[in-house]
Amino acid sequence: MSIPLQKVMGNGVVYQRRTEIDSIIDKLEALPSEELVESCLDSENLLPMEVVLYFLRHKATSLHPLQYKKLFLFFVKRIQGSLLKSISNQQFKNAEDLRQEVVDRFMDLLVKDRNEGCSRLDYFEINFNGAFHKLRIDVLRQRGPAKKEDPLSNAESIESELTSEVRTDVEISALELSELNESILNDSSFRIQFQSAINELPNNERRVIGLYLQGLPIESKDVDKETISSTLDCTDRTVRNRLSRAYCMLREKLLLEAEL
Amino acid sequence: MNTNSDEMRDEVLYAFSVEPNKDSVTLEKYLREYPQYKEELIDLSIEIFANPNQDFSPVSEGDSKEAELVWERFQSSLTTETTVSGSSSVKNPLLNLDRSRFRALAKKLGVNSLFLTMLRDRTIKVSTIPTQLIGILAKELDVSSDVMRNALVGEPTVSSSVRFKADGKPTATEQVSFDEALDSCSLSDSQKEKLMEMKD
Repeated sequence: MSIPLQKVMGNGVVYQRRTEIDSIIDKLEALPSEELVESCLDSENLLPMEVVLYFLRHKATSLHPLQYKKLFLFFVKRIQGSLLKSISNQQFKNAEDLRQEVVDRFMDLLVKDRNEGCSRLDYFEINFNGAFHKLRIDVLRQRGPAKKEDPLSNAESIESELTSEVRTDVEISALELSELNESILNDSSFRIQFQSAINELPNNERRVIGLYLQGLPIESKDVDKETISSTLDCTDRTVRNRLSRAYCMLREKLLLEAEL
Repeated sequence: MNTNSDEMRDEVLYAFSVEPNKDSVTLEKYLREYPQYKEELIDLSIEIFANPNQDFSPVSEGDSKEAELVWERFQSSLTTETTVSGSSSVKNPLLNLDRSRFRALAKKLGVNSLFLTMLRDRTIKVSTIPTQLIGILAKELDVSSDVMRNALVGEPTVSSSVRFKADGKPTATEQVSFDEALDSCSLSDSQKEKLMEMKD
């Protein structure tokens, strides 16, 4: 049986790992330690990060120090591999510093966990992908962005949104947006391009189209319902303007990438 | 420096990040409950939406130097008690108790402070400690039995009180069995009997 998590939800219930994670942990726990570590180091069949983190947190004393070190190094290399893609040298001038900062912050949590206990790491055992996004975005917000393409270069279009009507030549249909959404959901290579393209949009445009694609309505007659306009404190017309601009910018960037 | 509001913000964002269903309903709920973090929540939701499965493939062997540096920094940041090459075990919840809570726990367990000190300092071989006793300890200290057992595994330590009072350099004592501990702690007959009944 895996060691239970300690982090408690808002409703007082203790978080649980996903069932499939617990079952992999249980299977590996039954193996001799050498085999356990070998399984964790298998590049062909990568285990979920949640599983490797579990053993990093709980096997420090029962594994041979050399085995533990191997496990640790492989874990770090997997984090670094992910960061090379999500904080790429093409996107950020200071990419290397930013990647290092993310790794350092994660290590701070791991050190704290080993020295005095740190239930925050439980979040990474529940959903490593989500929690790691949070950690990475924190660094980008606080230390970034120093993007190679400065979003402020789009300032002109932002100023004009207050006065202009939605121009028919840039007006977009719900159908076009739903096609975009479908491509994001179903095409993994398109998704990678989309992720890079949406991150290059100015904040206003990125947030509007990001919320729209997640299914938040632009407006609603129900005053209690969260909408894009109420969330971003702007009128529905401004939301539509930003949405049109965001879609055009995205299309341009995605077409450009497809040509390259 | 981390303030309480930073802590709160981090907790909210981490909680959102691990939500099993990050659909518009979940996002709406968080936006309504935590309007003060709406920008962060929106940005996080977009990142997760755009990339729900990050690729955690390792960097190539050629890039392993950096990982070695991370390992060295990690090792140097651990306290002596928790270094990987050291012999000590995981954090011990008994070490967090102040004197009055320590005594109260001993009373509740039906043992004297000396016996509890032996448990805390890992002077008793963990393989000989009754599972029931570890379970009761775990319950009282609000940790799982596994965590409690792991905390009692390892070589005996020298408690901080001994560390500061001793004239010479103190050394950790030899480990004894549960039965030997019962005999050497001046426990009353009824205390011994109760503990003996817990034996596996």
